[in-house]
Amino acid sequence: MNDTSTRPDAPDTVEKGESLWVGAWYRLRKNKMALAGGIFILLLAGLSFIGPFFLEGDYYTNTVLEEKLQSPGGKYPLGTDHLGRDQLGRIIKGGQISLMVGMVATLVSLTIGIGYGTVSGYFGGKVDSVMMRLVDILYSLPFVIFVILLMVFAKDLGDSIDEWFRARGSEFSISGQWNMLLLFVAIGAVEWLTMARIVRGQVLSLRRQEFIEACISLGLPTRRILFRHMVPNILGPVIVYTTLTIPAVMLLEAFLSFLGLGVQPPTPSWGLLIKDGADRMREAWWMLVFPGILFATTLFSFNFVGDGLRDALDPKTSKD
Amino acid sequence: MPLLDVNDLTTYFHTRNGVVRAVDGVSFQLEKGETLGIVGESGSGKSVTCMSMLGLIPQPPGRIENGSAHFDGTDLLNCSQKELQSIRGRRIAMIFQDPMTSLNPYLRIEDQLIEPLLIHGLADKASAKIQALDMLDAVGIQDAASRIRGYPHEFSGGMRQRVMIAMALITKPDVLIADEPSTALDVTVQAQILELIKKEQQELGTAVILITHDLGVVSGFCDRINVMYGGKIVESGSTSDIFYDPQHPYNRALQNSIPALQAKGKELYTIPGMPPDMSKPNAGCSFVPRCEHATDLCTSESPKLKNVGQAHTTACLRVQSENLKP
Amino acid sequence: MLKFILRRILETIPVLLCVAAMTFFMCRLAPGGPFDEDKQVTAEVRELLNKQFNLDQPLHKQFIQYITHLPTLQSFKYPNRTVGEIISQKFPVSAKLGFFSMCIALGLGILFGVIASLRPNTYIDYVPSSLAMIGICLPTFVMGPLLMLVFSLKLGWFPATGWGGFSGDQFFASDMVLPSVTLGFFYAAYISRLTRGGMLDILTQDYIRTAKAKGASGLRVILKHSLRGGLLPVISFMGPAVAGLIAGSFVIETIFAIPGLGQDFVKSAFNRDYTLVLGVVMFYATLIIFLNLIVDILQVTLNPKLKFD
Repeated sequence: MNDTSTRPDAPDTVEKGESLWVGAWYRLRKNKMALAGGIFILLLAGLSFIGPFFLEGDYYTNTVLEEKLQSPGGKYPLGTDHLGRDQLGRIIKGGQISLMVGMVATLVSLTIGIGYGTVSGYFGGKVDSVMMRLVDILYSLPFVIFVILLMVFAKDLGDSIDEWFRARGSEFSISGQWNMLLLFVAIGAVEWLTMARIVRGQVLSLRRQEFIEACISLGLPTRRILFRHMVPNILGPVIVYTTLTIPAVMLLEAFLSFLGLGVQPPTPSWGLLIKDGADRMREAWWMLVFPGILFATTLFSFNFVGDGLRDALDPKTSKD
Repeated sequence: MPLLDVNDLTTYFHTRNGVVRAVDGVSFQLEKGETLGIVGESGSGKSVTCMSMLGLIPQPPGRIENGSAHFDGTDLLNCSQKELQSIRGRRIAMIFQDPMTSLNPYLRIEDQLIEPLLIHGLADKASAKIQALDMLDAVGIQDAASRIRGYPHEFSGGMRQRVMIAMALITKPDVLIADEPSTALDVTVQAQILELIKKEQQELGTAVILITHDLGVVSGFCDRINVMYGGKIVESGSTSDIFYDPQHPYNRALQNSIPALQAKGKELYTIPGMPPDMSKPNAGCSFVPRCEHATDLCTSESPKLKNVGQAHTTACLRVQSENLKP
Repeated sequence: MLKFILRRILETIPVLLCVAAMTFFMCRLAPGGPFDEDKQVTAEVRELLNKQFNLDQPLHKQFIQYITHLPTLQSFKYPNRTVGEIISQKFPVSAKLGFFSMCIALGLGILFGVIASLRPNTYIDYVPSSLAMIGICLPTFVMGPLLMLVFSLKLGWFPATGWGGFSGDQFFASDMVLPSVTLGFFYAAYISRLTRGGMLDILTQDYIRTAKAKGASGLRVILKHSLRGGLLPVISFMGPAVAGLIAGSFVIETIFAIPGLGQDFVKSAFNRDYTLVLGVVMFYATLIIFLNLIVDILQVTLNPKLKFD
């Protein structure tokens, strides 16, 4: 006796569909390295930005010459540098600066990149070809050369401006901030290329997608199409590449500081600390090793999180 | 002695959502020169069966749990990689469903055609190239001589499938497995491809296993047919048996759904229900949710293939119990 | 193909002009001339020097002069040596460094990348991939000193600095090891990730299954069927890679005291040696554009789906 009154095709439970974000979050959580990286970054940010509230104001500039070049231990857990400054404090402040430069410069390159990429992808055709050709050319030029030149010559300009003010009896000093500002812009201007390419690729392919055509034919207003359908699809890769741009930017800043063109002393950045450490490698290995390893680990973490996000958001590369 | 003797082949896929029992105890035989059709819906396990035989299943997450597949003295499921490689492409060849992606876009057609001959040491490069040209001609590519140095993206879908056939048959294998060879093609091209396979088969005496979901395709082509459902063979017999004397409820339902056989103006018959989720198999017969005649016994006992006529078997408990013929 | 090359050359000229203009005007951003810092120079001598180097002429005239006479211009800070001379002397040193670094980058990178792609998400994958990750995150200016610390100072295997190998007549010497490894490792890391990605992409394609069905052995599948397509991302990366190697050479040459062009570039920027700066920048820019052209031609040759258009 079958129960033919039960419809054979009515399922017992409606299977919950997995939205892209839910699936992505699940995959991300499973990725141990990405999680570890994320936690590390949060801890670091906390230490750098909140930590200083618990320290004395001069924790990174306090020079105690009699105690210079002390190896790690006791009062100075990470040793002191050549001017008797506490390495731990310098590293914390350096973290602040390096992270801040990282975020701001990334923001700059994000803005330029997204703007450029959207315009190029949206208009398509000739405009797109020209714009992308420009990106191709720029991509292969050693932009770094220009940044170096810019930093060298503009630094002098900043000094001269200061002199000009001083000659007129004013205390106004632009050189400190000028340098940082220039740094943000210069670095941001180098790294926008990849973001522009990514965004343009997404916009271009989205415009042609059938589901956009379906939206239009269903009579959806343009605003709804844009926000509800296009932006979420662009958001994914943008987030991934932002996370991957931050370490690239930090690397560039450290590179410039190493050459003496980035953040200016006495403000420490990890790049400067590494330079000081490399110079005094033979007498004070701790000046090189600690900042170096911390820097590398931070980059590591960002890269793992970025990679993890990329794998999580692209269902095709999921490992089952 | 059958050419190919498959016994209790079982392949499961171990995924994060559970174990998918793609092929669950499949047994059949293939005689020399015979054309065997394997028919079933998507997910019935027909492709996985044949790919398991040749070891082409990705081994994680897939795993051949059990079974044997004897081909000319070698058990394909339990032999060394080297032995398997020497049989693939040489004695058993396979062509796949999507010709657009089955050819290497970075290599010339000629290079891909001569490869089976070179791998198995059947010819030197010069004579292999000549054979490739002949083969390309035989499968109906116009202007073969000038096109053979071209790349896959310069060929249309139908032509690429012809190239695949040429590539598979160039070593004159004993068995050709064709996995939905015409499904991805236009209707007109479909017929041509099937004709081509038939012609080559007659010339070379190759046995063919034709995998498809399309009953129309097997009716004109195959000597025997295995109907698969839920990873198992549910009915097996000669083509006329399958079409004119269907025993298994699934097969019956399939026959009823063929549009041409129904009266005009009547509603089309469809099989109620959905194909089974192979990661959550039933205890008994997997067709129970969609079967009009299911009994309590059917939900607890899993039916095995039993004879219902001359070389005609079926796996349905009701049929077997009603059937008093030896 | 010829039309392609010609079009590229045409494209290049405005780019180079832009580069020259940008460089030139950036140099002039900073107020003051190259000789203002010299304390030993009196005002009259300074004027004479300025005149000698045409620094008193209007900017645009100077610019045109620079462009047309570039290799023969005299460097400001190296008396009696022309830009052309300096570049031709120093560049071979940097070129050697670049060559060995690239060999390491490609060799290690492709090898590790292919190995990692064979068994994804197992230990065979994790080890090379982690090494690659470390390589990307350890910048050259951290790795260089660290390697020097360990291998030279503590273990004494290689000399820490020196330039005998690079500018000497021998092709290879032990002091070239550390600098090349440092510079090359970073790019090896990138290349191995690209290779792994490219290979994974290919290995999951249907035509790999076809190749196996024909009886191809694993090695054959990799070498004949996969590498061609799998290495395409690496080839596209060669353009930016070369640019990066040049940038990296600045730091490496500084750290390891190698007398190459990179070190000179940074120094000349600090010294306001306008002619040398312009010369080096134009030289590198031309070199890179030329190498990129070769990379692009290579790409079209290897990928049958691309055409010169």
